Amino acid sequence: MSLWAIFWLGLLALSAVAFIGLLVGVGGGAVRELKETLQELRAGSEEATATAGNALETSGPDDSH
Amino acid sequence: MQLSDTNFTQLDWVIVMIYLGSSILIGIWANRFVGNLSDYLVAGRTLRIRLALATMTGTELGLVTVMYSSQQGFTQHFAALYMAVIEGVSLLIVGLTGIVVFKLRASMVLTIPEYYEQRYSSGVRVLGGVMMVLAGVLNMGLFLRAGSEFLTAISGLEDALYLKWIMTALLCLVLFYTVLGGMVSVVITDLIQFLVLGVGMLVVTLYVLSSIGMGGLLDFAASAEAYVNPTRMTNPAVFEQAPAIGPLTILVQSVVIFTAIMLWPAGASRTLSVKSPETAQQLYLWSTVPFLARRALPMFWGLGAYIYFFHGGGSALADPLRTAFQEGHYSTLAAMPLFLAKIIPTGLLGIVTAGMVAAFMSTHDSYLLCWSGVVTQDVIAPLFGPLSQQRRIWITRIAILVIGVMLLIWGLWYELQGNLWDYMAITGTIYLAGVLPVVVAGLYWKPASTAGAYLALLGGVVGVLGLAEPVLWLQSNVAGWIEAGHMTLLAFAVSAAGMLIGSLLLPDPAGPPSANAT
Repeated sequence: MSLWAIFWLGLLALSAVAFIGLLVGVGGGAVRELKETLQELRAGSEEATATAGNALETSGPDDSH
Repeated sequence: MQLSDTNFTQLDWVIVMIYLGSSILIGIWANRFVGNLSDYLVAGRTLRIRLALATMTGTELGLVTVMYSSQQGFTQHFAALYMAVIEGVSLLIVGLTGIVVFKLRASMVLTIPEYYEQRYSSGVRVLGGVMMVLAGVLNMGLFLRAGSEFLTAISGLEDALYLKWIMTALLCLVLFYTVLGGMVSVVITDLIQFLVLGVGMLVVTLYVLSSIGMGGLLDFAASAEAYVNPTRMTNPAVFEQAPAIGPLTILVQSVVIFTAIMLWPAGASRTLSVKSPETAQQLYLWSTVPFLARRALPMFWGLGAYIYFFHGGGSALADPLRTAFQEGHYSTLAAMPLFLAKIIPTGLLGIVTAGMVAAFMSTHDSYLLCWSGVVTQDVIAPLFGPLSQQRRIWITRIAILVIGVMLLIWGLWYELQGNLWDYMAITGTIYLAGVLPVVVAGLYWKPASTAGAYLALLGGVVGVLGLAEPVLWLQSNVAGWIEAGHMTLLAFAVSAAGMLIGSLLLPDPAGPPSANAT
């Protein structure tokens, strides 16, 4: 078997093993991070809604359109 | 045994449908988290490293990637893996040095054309946006065809009408949840798709290995029929539709892939969505693993299909397969799904197909969002003045629908000649050749000017000459030795020269605006 063939077979094995490691390492942590991200977005969205409500109370209807 | 025989049954269809239905529900649910344009386009820049890595993998590990990589594995065997090496090394370089991506994230822009305005002028931004969308939609043009070719080959559907209806239905589904939820929806579905597809890929790899056997793989690797040396100019595969690689192709792919790793808009939009420039750099370093796997594993499936049909359990189908290629009934893209349809059992085949459809959708949704965001932010807004956040979101949604219709028409109409990856590299060059000098010079070369940026962006149009029809014309009328690769390199050279000459001859009068090179 040529050196090229040995190199490619090694690369295939390395890719598969590294991919398993990535799935295990990233999977659980990513789900937790998604929850945190959604909480931040919800908080930002609520804050924007509250700010818009306050602006309406102080300056009347939106005339930007 | 027939070529179209498959283990795909009603049960597998039900599994796929359940998966698709749940994607619609996620799109509806994610809409509640969208408060402003930043939430819609870059998820409010809240992504941390693991989530960003999972969604970047979900986006870049698309069905199209699986299809073109397996096609390369089928036609070029082990030698096709040179692409995985180029991509892995490119990511390592970017991840270790932070070249381009660190400064780009630090500039706080939402899109790459927005950087053009920050550094050059609003005119450069509009031209850059138009070039990006044109190249991007052309590049995406065959995604639908690849997706439907996978589904028809794996499910055994042979009617061409089914192919068109499947393409239309898949596109409508992606449009639905992308229009509703924007980047928030894309991030959630990408994470699910990362997990489903990741497990699916490992399962398929095990089945492929068990089908051809470790002995069969090693025997083939040692045989003279295996294409193992990518610098060799002859491909020993036993059918005609198997292109060779060679030094020119390796050089061209190195340039295209390295540029795409840094500046391909869908990947760049993930760079711009992360929390900090440091996270952006980390994202590239850690992406080395999934990007290596996204090429290497499907290439192995394509190689497995070759061994199966020409030397293994499916060798009775070798002649029908060759005939199907010659008559155009199947392209070499279909070899991998035809192979999987025979070796993976019912039920599991449905889960694997759902994973592949997931991969199809995860690429489509990100790309649609990316191009439509550019249309809104970088073409419509600079041309038609200030727009409210809500109006921008609605323009983005309309742009998603318009691009979707264009994709459907192009996918049904254009006939692919040669490998799918070659088409994608050539259409991508129209954008990549221009963006490379404009961004790199903008970040690292103080004299880079607006005139140079215009010339560099327009120089990318030379990339069109790499498509099959212009190359045939050039070979007949200019020189027989001209290949698509020469035209790709010419496009990069013309763009770089445009930036250099334009900047030196026509410098900006008062120096660059806000984002000076340092």
